Amino acid sequence: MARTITVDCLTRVEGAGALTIRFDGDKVCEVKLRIFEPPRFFEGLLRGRAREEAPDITARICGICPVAYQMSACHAIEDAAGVHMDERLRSLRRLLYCGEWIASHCLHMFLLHAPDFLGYPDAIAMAGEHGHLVRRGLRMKKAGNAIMSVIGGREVHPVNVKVGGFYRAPTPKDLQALLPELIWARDAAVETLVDFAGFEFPDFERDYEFVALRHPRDYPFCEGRIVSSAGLDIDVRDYEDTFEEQQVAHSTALHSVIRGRGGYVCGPLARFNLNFDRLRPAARAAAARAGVGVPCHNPFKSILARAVEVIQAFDEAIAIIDSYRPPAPAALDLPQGAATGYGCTEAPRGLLYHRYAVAADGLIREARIVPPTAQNQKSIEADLYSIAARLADMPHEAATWLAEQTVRNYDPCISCSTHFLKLEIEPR
Amino acid sequence: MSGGRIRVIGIGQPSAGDDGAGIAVARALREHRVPAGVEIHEITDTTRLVELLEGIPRAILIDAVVADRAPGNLLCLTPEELVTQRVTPLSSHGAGVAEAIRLARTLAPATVAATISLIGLTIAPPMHCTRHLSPAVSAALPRAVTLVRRLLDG
Repeated sequence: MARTITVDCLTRVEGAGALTIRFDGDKVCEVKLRIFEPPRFFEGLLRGRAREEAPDITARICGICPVAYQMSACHAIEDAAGVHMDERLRSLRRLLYCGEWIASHCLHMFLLHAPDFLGYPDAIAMAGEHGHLVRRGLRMKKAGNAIMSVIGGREVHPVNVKVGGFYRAPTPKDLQALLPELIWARDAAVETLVDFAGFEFPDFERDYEFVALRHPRDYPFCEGRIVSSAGLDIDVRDYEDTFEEQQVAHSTALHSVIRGRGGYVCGPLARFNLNFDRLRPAARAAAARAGVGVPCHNPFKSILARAVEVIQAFDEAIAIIDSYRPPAPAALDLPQGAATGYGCTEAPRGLLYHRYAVAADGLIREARIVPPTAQNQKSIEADLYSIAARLADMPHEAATWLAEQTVRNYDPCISCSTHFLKLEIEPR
Repeated sequence: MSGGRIRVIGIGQPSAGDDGAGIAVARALREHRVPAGVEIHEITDTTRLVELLEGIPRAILIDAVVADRAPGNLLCLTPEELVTQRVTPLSSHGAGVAEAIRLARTLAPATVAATISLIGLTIAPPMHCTRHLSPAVSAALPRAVTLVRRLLDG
Protein backbone atom coordinates (compact mmCIF):
# COMPACT_ATOMS: atom_id res chain seq x y z
CA MET A 1 0.00 0.00 0.00
CA ALA A 2 1.45 3.32 -1.01
CA ARG A 3 0.48 6.45 0.82
CA THR A 4 1.45 9.69 2.47
CA ILE A 5 0.89 10.80 6.03
CA THR A 6 0.57 14.54 6.24
CA VAL A 7 0.37 16.78 9.25
CA ASP A 8 -0.01 20.30 7.94
CA CYS A 9 0.31 21.91 11.26
CA LEU A 10 1.76 19.90 14.12
CA THR A 11 -0.06 20.75 17.31
CA ARG A 12 1.03 20.65 20.93
CA VAL A 13 4.54 21.76 20.07
CA GLU A 14 6.06 25.18 20.55
CA GLY A 15 6.32 27.08 17.26
CA ALA A 16 5.38 26.41 13.57
CA GLY A 17 6.32 23.39 11.45
CA ALA A 18 5.10 20.43 9.42
CA LEU A 19 5.89 16.79 8.94
CA THR A 20 5.81 14.64 5.78
CA ILE A 21 6.38 10.88 5.65
CA ARG A 22 6.40 9.36 2.13
CA PHE A 23 6.01 5.64 1.59
CA ASP A 24 6.96 3.58 -1.44
CA GLY A 25 4.89 0.48 -0.88
CA ASP A 26 5.33 -0.37 2.78
CA LYS A 27 8.80 1.15 2.84
CA VAL A 28 9.34 4.67 4.02
CA CYS A 29 11.31 6.66 1.47
CA GLU A 30 11.36 10.12 2.96
CA VAL A 31 10.83 11.79 6.32
CA LYS A 32 10.96 15.56 6.54
CA LEU A 33 10.43 17.59 9.66
CA ARG A 34 9.93 20.90 7.93
CA ILE A 35 10.44 23.97 9.99
CA PHE A 36 9.11 26.99 8.17
CA GLU A 37 9.01 29.50 10.94
CA PRO A 38 11.26 32.18 9.52
CA PRO A 39 14.88 32.43 10.65
CA ARG A 40 15.38 35.15 13.21
CA PHE A 41 18.96 36.24 12.77
CA PHE A 42 19.69 36.77 16.45
CA GLU A 43 23.38 36.04 15.94
CA GLY A 44 23.55 38.88 13.42
CA LEU A 45 21.71 41.42 15.52
CA LEU A 46 23.99 40.76 18.50
CA ARG A 47 26.97 42.11 16.57
CA GLY A 48 27.89 45.56 17.73
CA ARG A 49 25.81 45.34 20.90
CA ALA A 50 27.34 45.67 24.34
CA ARG A 51 28.30 42.38 26.00
CA GLU A 52 26.00 43.25 28.91
CA GLU A 53 23.00 43.20 26.53
CA ALA A 54 23.49 39.57 25.46
CA PRO A 55 21.36 37.95 28.20
CA ASP A 56 18.34 40.19 27.63
CA ILE A 57 18.53 40.11 23.83
CA THR A 58 18.90 36.34 23.61
CA ALA A 59 16.17 35.76 26.23
CA ARG A 60 13.74 37.03 23.55
CA ILE A 61 14.44 33.95 21.46
CA CYS A 62 11.99 31.99 23.65
CA GLY A 63 9.06 32.68 25.97
CA ILE A 64 9.32 29.21 27.55
CA CYS A 65 13.04 29.06 28.27
CA PRO A 66 14.31 32.64 28.53
CA VAL A 67 16.34 31.77 31.62
CA ALA A 68 18.32 29.18 29.64
CA TYR A 69 19.30 31.86 27.13
CA GLN A 70 20.18 34.26 29.90
CA MET A 71 22.28 31.65 31.68
CA SER A 72 24.22 30.52 28.59
CA ALA A 73 24.81 34.14 27.56
CA CYS A 74 25.98 35.17 31.03
CA HIS A 75 28.34 32.23 31.39
CA ALA A 76 29.83 32.84 27.94
CA ILE A 77 30.40 36.56 28.54
CA GLU A 78 31.80 35.84 32.01
CA ASP A 79 34.08 33.19 30.51
CA ALA A 80 35.42 35.80 28.10
CA ALA A 81 36.14 38.07 31.07
CA GLY A 82 37.66 35.28 33.14
CA VAL A 83 35.09 35.66 35.93
CA HIS A 84 33.60 32.73 37.84
CA MET A 85 30.47 32.76 40.00
CA ASP A 86 30.92 32.37 43.73
CA GLU A 87 28.89 29.69 45.53
CA ARG A 88 26.03 31.99 46.56
CA LEU A 89 25.54 33.41 43.07
CA ARG A 90 25.81 29.92 41.62
CA SER A 91 23.07 28.67 43.96
CA LEU A 92 20.77 31.55 43.12
CA ARG A 93 21.24 30.88 39.40
CA ARG A 94 20.49 27.18 39.94
CA LEU A 95 17.32 28.15 41.85
CA LEU A 96 16.18 30.37 38.98
CA TYR A 97 16.89 27.53 36.53
CA CYS A 98 14.85 25.13 38.77
CA GLY A 99 11.91 27.52 38.29
CA GLU A 100 12.24 27.43 34.52
CA TRP A 101 12.64 23.64 34.30
CA ILE A 102 9.55 23.17 36.47
CA ALA A 103 7.39 25.59 34.47
CA SER A 104 8.56 24.31 31.08
CA HIS A 105 8.44 20.59 31.94
CA CYS A 106 5.00 20.87 33.61
CA LEU A 107 3.54 22.66 30.59
CA HIS A 108 4.81 19.91 28.30
CA MET A 109 4.06 16.90 30.53
CA PHE A 110 0.54 17.82 31.61
CA LEU A 111 -0.85 19.94 28.79
CA LEU A 112 1.01 18.77 25.68
CA HIS A 113 2.30 15.21 26.14
CA ALA A 114 0.01 13.43 28.65
CA PRO A 115 -3.02 13.64 26.27
CA ASP A 116 -1.07 11.38 23.86
CA PHE A 117 -0.84 8.61 26.45
CA LEU A 118 -4.38 9.00 27.78
CA GLY A 119 -5.90 9.12 24.30
CA TYR A 120 -7.18 12.66 24.08
CA PRO A 121 -6.66 15.16 21.28
CA ASP A 122 -5.70 17.89 23.73
CA ALA A 123 -5.54 18.89 27.38
CA ILE A 124 -9.02 20.42 27.31
CA ALA A 125 -10.58 17.11 26.27
CA MET A 126 -8.38 15.33 28.82
CA ALA A 127 -9.52 17.68 31.57
CA GLY A 128 -13.05 16.27 31.45
CA GLU A 129 -12.00 12.91 32.95
CA HIS A 130 -8.60 13.78 34.31
CA GLY A 131 -9.29 17.20 35.77
CA HIS A 132 -7.26 16.44 38.88
CA LEU A 133 -4.19 15.83 36.72
CA VAL A 134 -4.59 19.08 34.82
CA ARG A 135 -5.18 21.03 38.03
CA ARG A 136 -2.15 19.46 39.65
CA GLY A 137 -0.02 20.28 36.62
CA LEU A 138 -1.15 23.90 36.52
CA ARG A 139 -0.48 24.32 40.24
CA MET A 140 2.99 22.78 39.94
CA LYS A 141 3.75 24.99 36.94
CA LYS A 142 2.63 28.01 38.92
CA ALA A 143 5.06 27.09 41.71
CA GLY A 144 7.89 27.13 39.15
CA ASN A 145 6.69 30.44 37.74
CA ALA A 146 6.65 31.86 41.26
CA ILE A 147 10.36 31.10 41.67
CA MET A 148 11.05 33.01 38.45
CA SER A 149 8.88 35.92 39.57
CA VAL A 150 10.66 36.29 42.90
CA ILE A 151 14.20 35.98 41.57
CA GLY A 152 13.73 37.25 38.04
CA GLY A 153 11.31 40.08 38.70
CA ARG A 154 8.59 38.50 36.53
CA GLU A 155 7.66 35.01 35.34
CA VAL A 156 8.18 35.48 31.60
CA HIS A 157 11.39 37.08 30.39
CA PRO A 158 12.91 37.79 33.81
CA VAL A 159 14.56 41.18 34.08
CA ASN A 160 16.80 40.70 37.12
CA VAL A 161 19.53 38.62 35.51
CA LYS A 162 22.71 40.43 34.58
CA VAL A 163 26.15 39.46 33.40
CA GLY A 164 28.10 38.84 36.62
CA GLY A 165 25.08 37.91 38.72
CA PHE A 166 21.82 39.73 39.49
CA TYR A 167 20.69 43.34 39.72
CA ARG A 168 19.18 42.63 43.12
CA ALA A 169 19.39 39.56 45.33
CA PRO A 170 16.06 38.43 46.84
CA THR A 171 15.84 38.45 50.61
CA PRO A 172 15.63 35.14 52.51
CA LYS A 173 12.08 36.14 53.46
CA ASP A 174 11.13 36.59 49.79
CA LEU A 175 12.27 33.05 49.05
CA GLN A 176 10.97 31.40 52.23
CA ALA A 177 7.47 32.54 51.30
CA LEU A 178 7.70 30.09 48.37
CA LEU A 179 8.44 27.07 50.57
CA PRO A 180 4.95 25.80 51.53
CA GLU A 181 3.89 25.55 47.87
CA LEU A 182 7.22 24.05 46.81
CA ILE A 183 6.94 21.37 49.51
CA TRP A 184 3.41 20.53 48.31
CA ALA A 185 4.65 20.46 44.73
CA ARG A 186 7.56 18.11 45.48
CA ASP A 187 5.06 15.54 46.82
CA ALA A 188 2.77 16.19 43.85
CA ALA A 189 5.73 15.62 41.51
CA VAL A 190 6.46 12.23 43.13
CA GLU A 191 2.79 11.30 42.72
CA THR A 192 2.97 12.42 39.08
CA LEU A 193 5.95 10.18 38.33
CA VAL A 194 4.01 7.18 39.68
CA ASP A 195 0.96 8.16 37.58
CA PHE A 196 3.00 8.63 34.42
CA ALA A 197 5.02 5.44 34.96
CA GLY A 198 1.68 3.61 34.64
CA PHE A 199 1.17 4.88 31.08
CA GLU A 200 1.37 2.40 28.23
CA PHE A 201 4.50 3.18 26.23
CA PRO A 202 5.00 2.15 22.59
CA ASP A 203 7.59 -0.63 22.36
CA PHE A 204 10.32 1.36 20.64
CA GLU A 205 14.03 1.81 21.27
CA ARG A 206 16.97 3.18 19.31
CA ASP A 207 20.65 3.10 20.02
CA TYR A 208 21.07 6.82 20.66
CA GLU A 209 24.18 8.77 21.37
CA PHE A 210 23.06 10.84 24.34
CA VAL A 211 24.83 14.16 24.94
CA ALA A 212 24.65 16.26 28.10
CA LEU A 213 26.69 18.30 30.49
CA ARG A 214 28.25 16.48 33.39
CA HIS A 215 29.32 18.16 36.60
CA PRO A 216 31.61 16.55 39.18
CA ARG A 217 28.95 16.80 41.88
CA ASP A 218 25.57 18.07 40.73
CA TYR A 219 22.85 17.28 38.20
CA PRO A 220 23.78 19.61 35.35
CA PHE A 221 22.44 23.13 34.95
CA CYS A 222 25.09 25.70 34.15
CA GLU A 223 28.43 23.98 34.31
CA GLY A 224 30.31 20.83 33.44
CA ARG A 225 32.02 19.04 30.61
CA ILE A 226 30.09 17.91 27.54
CA VAL A 227 29.91 14.12 27.64
CA SER A 228 28.15 11.45 25.60
CA SER A 229 27.09 7.83 25.91
CA ALA A 230 29.68 7.02 23.20
CA GLY A 231 32.59 8.28 25.27
CA LEU A 232 32.74 11.94 24.29
CA ASP A 233 34.21 14.06 27.08
CA ILE A 234 35.14 17.61 26.05
CA ASP A 235 35.44 21.08 27.42
CA VAL A 236 32.65 23.48 26.42
CA ARG A 237 35.12 25.55 24.44
CA ASP A 238 35.77 22.56 22.14
CA TYR A 239 32.07 22.34 21.17
CA GLU A 240 32.49 23.59 17.63
CA ASP A 241 35.42 21.26 16.96
CA THR A 242 33.17 18.33 17.80
CA PHE A 243 29.71 19.40 16.67
CA GLU A 244 28.76 20.76 13.27
CA GLU A 245 25.64 22.57 12.10
CA GLN A 246 24.43 21.69 8.60
CA GLN A 247 22.02 23.45 6.25
CA VAL A 248 19.08 21.37 5.04
CA ALA A 249 16.73 22.54 2.30
CA HIS A 250 13.48 21.64 4.09
CA SER A 251 14.11 23.48 7.34
CA THR A 252 14.95 26.99 8.38
CA ALA A 253 16.68 25.49 11.42
CA LEU A 254 20.15 24.07 11.07
CA HIS A 255 20.71 20.36 11.82
CA SER A 256 23.47 19.48 14.27
CA VAL A 257 25.67 16.41 14.01
CA ILE A 258 28.71 15.08 15.81
CA ARG A 259 31.47 15.33 13.23
CA GLY A 260 32.11 11.93 11.67
CA ARG A 261 29.28 10.26 13.58
CA GLY A 262 25.94 11.93 12.85
CA GLY A 263 22.86 12.71 14.87
CA TYR A 264 22.59 12.64 18.63
CA VAL A 265 20.09 13.38 21.39
CA CYS A 266 20.20 16.04 24.07
CA GLY A 267 17.56 16.96 26.65
CA PRO A 268 15.86 15.26 29.58
CA LEU A 269 16.35 11.65 28.41
CA ALA A 270 20.04 12.30 27.69
CA ARG A 271 20.62 14.04 31.02
CA PHE A 272 18.74 11.31 32.88
CA ASN A 273 20.83 8.54 31.25
CA LEU A 274 24.16 10.31 31.66
CA ASN A 275 23.62 11.86 35.08
CA PHE A 276 21.37 9.45 36.97
CA ASP A 277 24.05 9.22 39.66
CA ARG A 278 24.02 12.99 40.03
CA LEU A 279 20.30 13.15 40.88
CA ARG A 280 19.45 14.13 44.40
CA PRO A 281 18.56 11.17 46.66
CA ALA A 282 14.88 12.18 46.70
CA ALA A 283 14.66 12.05 42.90
CA ARG A 284 16.62 8.79 42.65
CA ALA A 285 14.47 7.16 45.33
CA ALA A 286 11.26 8.30 43.66
CA ALA A 287 12.50 6.94 40.31
CA ALA A 288 13.36 3.59 41.92
CA ARG A 289 9.93 3.37 43.59
CA ALA A 290 8.22 4.12 40.26
CA GLY A 291 10.38 1.53 38.47
CA VAL A 292 12.03 4.17 36.30
CA GLY A 293 15.73 3.59 35.71
CA VAL A 294 18.67 3.72 33.33
CA PRO A 295 19.60 2.89 30.69
CA CYS A 296 16.45 4.06 28.96
CA HIS A 297 16.47 4.16 25.16
CA ASN A 298 12.71 4.57 24.61
CA PRO A 299 12.07 8.17 23.55
CA PHE A 300 8.38 7.89 24.53
CA LYS A 301 9.61 7.57 28.12
CA SER A 302 11.12 11.04 27.96
CA ILE A 303 7.99 12.11 29.87
CA LEU A 304 9.31 10.03 32.78
CA ALA A 305 12.74 11.66 32.57
CA ARG A 306 10.99 15.04 32.72
CA ALA A 307 8.92 13.91 35.70
CA VAL A 308 12.08 12.84 37.56
CA GLU A 309 13.73 16.15 36.70
CA VAL A 310 10.73 18.00 38.10
CA ILE A 311 11.15 16.16 41.42
CA GLN A 312 14.85 16.99 41.30
CA ALA A 313 14.13 20.66 40.62
CA PHE A 314 11.57 21.02 43.44
CA ASP A 315 13.85 19.20 45.89
CA GLU A 316 16.87 21.27 44.97
CA ALA A 317 14.86 24.50 45.07
CA ILE A 318 13.74 23.70 48.60
CA ALA A 319 17.32 22.88 49.68
CA ILE A 320 18.72 26.08 48.15
CA ILE A 321 16.07 28.21 49.88
CA ASP A 322 16.64 26.42 53.21
CA SER A 323 20.33 27.37 53.21
CA TYR A 324 20.03 30.65 51.27
CA ARG A 325 22.20 33.56 52.13
CA PRO A 326 21.98 36.51 49.76
CA PRO A 327 25.04 36.96 47.56
CA ALA A 328 26.93 40.12 48.40
CA PRO A 329 27.55 41.81 46.11
CA ALA A 330 24.61 40.74 43.98
CA ALA A 331 26.85 40.84 40.91
CA LEU A 332 30.58 40.57 40.24
CA ASP A 333 32.40 43.19 38.19
CA LEU A 334 33.79 42.11 34.84
CA PRO A 335 37.14 43.41 33.62
CA GLN A 336 37.24 44.75 30.05
CA GLY A 337 39.36 43.08 27.42
CA ALA A 338 39.14 41.46 24.01
CA ALA A 339 38.41 37.76 24.34
CA THR A 340 36.18 34.95 23.19
CA GLY A 341 33.91 33.30 25.75
CA TYR A 342 32.03 30.00 25.71
CA GLY A 343 28.91 29.06 27.63
CA CYS A 344 26.84 25.89 27.60
CA THR A 345 23.94 25.25 29.94
CA GLU A 346 21.14 22.70 30.14
CA ALA A 347 17.94 24.33 28.84
CA PRO A 348 14.78 22.32 29.62
CA ARG A 349 15.06 20.77 26.11
CA GLY A 350 18.81 20.19 26.23
CA LEU A 351 22.20 21.72 25.54
CA LEU A 352 22.20 25.40 24.72
CA TYR A 353 25.58 26.60 23.45
CA HIS A 354 26.65 30.25 23.14
CA ARG A 355 29.94 31.72 21.97
CA TYR A 356 30.74 35.42 21.88
CA ALA A 357 33.80 37.20 20.54
CA VAL A 358 33.99 40.41 22.57
CA ALA A 359 36.26 43.30 21.52
CA ALA A 360 38.30 45.51 23.86
CA ASP A 361 35.51 48.15 23.75
CA GLY A 362 33.08 45.63 25.25
CA LEU A 363 31.09 45.24 22.04
CA ILE A 364 30.18 41.83 20.62
CA ARG A 365 31.96 41.18 17.32
CA GLU A 366 30.59 37.71 16.65
CA ALA A 367 27.98 35.48 18.23
CA ARG A 368 27.09 31.82 17.83
CA ILE A 369 23.99 30.22 19.36
CA VAL A 370 23.06 26.51 19.04
CA PRO A 371 19.66 25.70 20.61
CA PRO A 372 18.64 22.20 21.69
CA THR A 373 15.81 21.63 19.18
CA ALA A 374 18.22 22.20 16.28
CA GLN A 375 20.47 19.57 17.84
CA ASN A 376 17.64 17.07 18.19
CA GLN A 377 16.08 17.51 14.73
CA LYS A 378 18.16 14.83 13.06
CA SER A 379 17.24 12.36 15.77
CA ILE A 380 13.54 13.21 15.51
CA GLU A 381 13.67 12.39 11.80
CA ALA A 382 15.63 9.18 12.50
CA ASP A 383 13.00 8.10 15.07
CA LEU A 384 10.31 8.66 12.44
CA TYR A 385 12.25 6.57 9.91
CA SER A 386 12.54 3.80 12.49
CA ILE A 387 8.88 3.86 13.45
CA ALA A 388 7.61 4.33 9.89
CA ALA A 389 7.34 0.59 9.14
CA ARG A 390 4.86 0.38 11.99
CA LEU A 391 2.98 3.42 10.69
CA ALA A 392 2.62 1.81 7.26
CA ASP A 393 0.45 -0.95 8.75
CA MET A 394 -1.71 1.34 10.87
CA PRO A 395 -5.01 3.10 10.03
CA HIS A 396 -4.28 6.62 8.83
CA GLU A 397 -5.59 8.43 11.88
CA ALA A 398 -3.67 6.24 14.33
CA ALA A 399 -0.50 6.48 12.23
CA THR A 400 -0.71 10.25 12.15
CA TRP A 401 -1.22 10.36 15.90
CA LEU A 402 1.80 8.12 16.59
CA ALA A 403 3.98 10.13 14.22
CA GLU A 404 3.03 13.37 15.95
CA GLN A 405 3.61 11.79 19.35
CA THR A 406 7.07 10.74 18.16
CA VAL A 407 7.85 14.38 17.46
CA ARG A 408 6.35 15.56 20.75
CA ASN A 409 8.65 13.18 22.68
CA TYR A 410 11.28 15.84 22.15
CA ASP A 411 9.15 18.78 23.31
CA PRO A 412 10.52 20.59 20.28
CA CYS A 413 10.68 24.32 20.58
CA ILE A 414 10.55 25.40 16.98
CA SER A 415 10.55 29.04 17.94
CA CYS A 416 13.96 28.46 19.43
CA SER A 417 15.34 26.36 16.62
CA THR A 418 14.68 29.02 13.95
CA HIS A 419 12.32 29.25 15.81
CA PHE A 420 5.73 24.94 14.65
CA LEU A 421 4.57 21.85 12.99
CA LYS A 422 2.43 20.04 10.11
CA LEU A 423 2.55 16.12 9.29
CA GLU A 424 2.34 14.57 5.84
CA ILE A 425 2.65 10.81 5.23
CA GLU A 426 2.68 10.43 1.43
CA PRO A 427 2.53 7.44 -0.96
CA ARG A 428 4.71 7.33 -3.96
CA MET B 1 -8.00 36.44 46.14
CA SER B 2 -11.49 35.30 47.13
CA GLY B 3 -14.22 37.76 48.08
CA GLY B 4 -14.23 39.69 44.76
CA ARG B 5 -17.33 39.24 42.69
CA ILE B 6 -15.93 40.48 39.40
CA ARG B 7 -12.40 40.08 38.13
CA VAL B 8 -11.02 42.39 35.51
CA ILE B 9 -8.02 40.66 33.95
CA GLY B 10 -5.57 42.44 31.68
CA ILE B 11 -3.62 39.98 29.51
CA GLY B 12 -0.47 40.71 27.57
CA GLN B 13 3.28 40.90 27.21
CA PRO B 14 4.40 44.45 27.94
CA SER B 15 7.80 43.86 26.35
CA ALA B 16 6.23 43.30 22.93
CA GLY B 17 4.84 46.79 22.45
CA ASP B 18 1.13 46.77 21.65
CA ASP B 19 0.82 43.14 22.86
CA GLY B 20 0.89 44.75 26.31
CA ALA B 21 -2.34 46.70 25.63
CA GLY B 22 -4.45 44.52 27.98
CA ILE B 23 -2.01 45.07 30.83
CA ALA B 24 -1.92 48.79 30.10
CA VAL B 25 -5.74 49.01 30.31
CA ALA B 26 -5.73 47.14 33.66
CA ARG B 27 -3.09 49.50 35.01
CA ALA B 28 -4.97 52.56 33.80
CA LEU B 29 -8.14 51.23 35.42
CA ARG B 30 -6.37 51.20 38.79
CA GLU B 31 -6.27 55.00 38.59
CA HIS B 32 -10.08 55.09 38.70
CA ARG B 33 -12.60 54.22 41.35
CA VAL B 34 -14.18 50.88 40.66
CA PRO B 35 -17.22 49.35 42.39
CA ALA B 36 -16.63 47.36 45.60
CA GLY B 37 -15.88 43.70 44.94
CA VAL B 38 -13.96 44.34 41.74
CA GLU B 39 -10.46 42.86 41.54
CA ILE B 40 -7.97 43.93 38.90
CA HIS B 41 -5.36 41.42 37.71
CA GLU B 42 -2.53 41.59 35.19
CA ILE B 43 -1.26 38.34 33.67
CA THR B 44 1.27 37.34 31.05
CA ASP B 45 0.85 33.56 31.28
CA THR B 46 -2.66 32.66 30.03
CA THR B 47 -2.71 29.39 32.03
CA ARG B 48 -3.27 31.66 35.06
CA LEU B 49 -6.73 32.38 33.62
CA VAL B 50 -7.90 28.90 34.66
CA GLU B 51 -7.75 29.73 38.37
CA LEU B 52 -8.74 33.37 37.97
CA LEU B 53 -12.01 32.46 36.21
CA GLU B 54 -13.09 30.17 39.05
CA GLY B 55 -15.31 31.07 42.01
CA ILE B 56 -16.72 34.29 40.59
CA PRO B 57 -19.91 35.05 38.68
CA ARG B 58 -18.34 37.37 36.17
CA ALA B 59 -15.04 38.23 34.53
CA ILE B 60 -13.95 40.88 32.10
CA LEU B 61 -10.83 40.08 30.07
CA ILE B 62 -8.89 42.66 28.14
CA ASP B 63 -6.39 41.55 25.53
CA ALA B 64 -4.71 42.78 22.40
CA VAL B 65 -6.21 41.21 19.29
CA VAL B 66 -5.31 41.10 15.64
CA ALA B 67 -8.44 41.52 13.52
CA ASP B 68 -9.59 43.00 10.24
CA ARG B 69 -9.70 46.46 11.84
CA ALA B 70 -7.21 49.27 12.16
CA PRO B 71 -5.16 49.35 15.37
CA GLY B 72 -6.90 51.12 18.26
CA ASN B 73 -10.43 49.75 17.74
CA LEU B 74 -12.35 48.16 20.60
CA LEU B 75 -14.24 44.91 20.15
CA CYS B 76 -16.68 43.52 22.74
CA LEU B 77 -16.69 39.77 22.40
CA THR B 78 -17.99 36.64 24.08
CA PRO B 79 -15.63 33.65 24.35
CA GLU B 80 -17.71 31.91 21.65
CA GLU B 81 -17.22 34.84 19.30
CA LEU B 82 -13.51 34.59 19.93
CA VAL B 83 -13.55 31.22 18.22
CA THR B 84 -15.98 32.03 15.42
CA GLN B 85 -14.87 35.49 14.41
CA ARG B 86 -11.70 36.33 12.62
CA VAL B 87 -10.06 37.61 15.76
CA THR B 88 -6.77 36.33 17.11
CA PRO B 89 -5.74 37.17 20.65
CA LEU B 90 -2.00 37.07 20.91
CA SER B 91 -0.25 34.43 22.92
CA SER B 92 3.36 33.42 22.62
CA HIS B 93 3.60 29.86 23.89
CA GLY B 94 1.16 27.55 25.64
CA ALA B 95 -2.59 28.01 25.73
CA GLY B 96 -4.33 30.90 24.06
CA VAL B 97 -7.16 32.82 25.75
CA ALA B 98 -9.94 30.77 24.11
CA GLU B 99 -8.22 27.50 25.11
CA ALA B 100 -7.70 28.70 28.68
CA ILE B 101 -11.40 29.62 28.98
CA ARG B 102 -12.43 26.23 27.57
CA LEU B 103 -10.06 24.49 29.97
CA ALA B 104 -11.47 26.43 32.93
CA ARG B 105 -15.04 25.56 31.90
CA THR B 106 -14.13 21.85 31.56
CA LEU B 107 -12.34 21.73 34.90
CA ALA B 108 -14.91 23.63 36.93
CA PRO B 109 -18.24 23.76 35.05
CA ALA B 110 -20.17 24.68 38.22
CA THR B 111 -17.90 27.41 39.56
CA VAL B 112 -16.35 29.09 36.54
CA ALA B 113 -17.57 32.62 35.83
CA ALA B 114 -20.95 32.35 34.09
CA THR B 115 -20.42 35.61 32.28
CA ILE B 116 -17.10 36.22 30.60
CA SER B 117 -16.74 39.37 28.53
CA LEU B 118 -13.71 39.95 26.40
CA ILE B 119 -12.62 43.36 25.31
CA GLY B 120 -10.27 43.12 22.39
CA LEU B 121 -8.10 46.10 21.57
CA THR B 122 -7.03 45.77 17.97
CA ILE B 123 -3.35 46.06 17.21
CA ALA B 124 -1.05 45.39 14.30
CA PRO B 125 1.00 42.19 14.79
CA PRO B 126 3.87 43.25 17.12
CA MET B 127 7.15 43.22 15.26
CA HIS B 128 9.46 44.92 17.73
CA CYS B 129 10.74 44.43 21.23
CA THR B 130 9.60 47.63 22.92
CA ARG B 131 7.88 48.59 26.14
CA HIS B 132 5.97 51.40 24.41
CA LEU B 133 2.49 51.32 22.93
CA SER B 134 1.94 52.72 19.44
CA PRO B 135 0.14 56.10 19.25
CA ALA B 136 -3.06 54.51 17.91
CA VAL B 137 -3.24 51.93 20.71
CA SER B 138 -2.16 54.40 23.35
CA ALA B 139 -4.93 56.79 22.24
CA ALA B 140 -7.50 54.00 22.65
CA LEU B 141 -6.67 53.35 26.34
CA PRO B 142 -9.09 55.95 27.80
CA ARG B 143 -11.92 54.57 25.65
CA ALA B 144 -11.04 51.03 26.79
CA VAL B 145 -11.08 52.12 30.43
CA THR B 146 -14.44 53.83 29.92
CA LEU B 147 -15.81 50.68 28.32
CA VAL B 148 -14.64 48.48 31.22
CA ARG B 149 -16.15 50.91 33.75
CA ARG B 150 -19.43 50.95 31.83
CA LEU B 151 -19.49 47.14 31.89
CA LEU B 152 -18.78 47.22 35.64
CA ASP B 153 -21.53 49.77 36.27
CA GLY B 154 -23.94 47.91 34.04
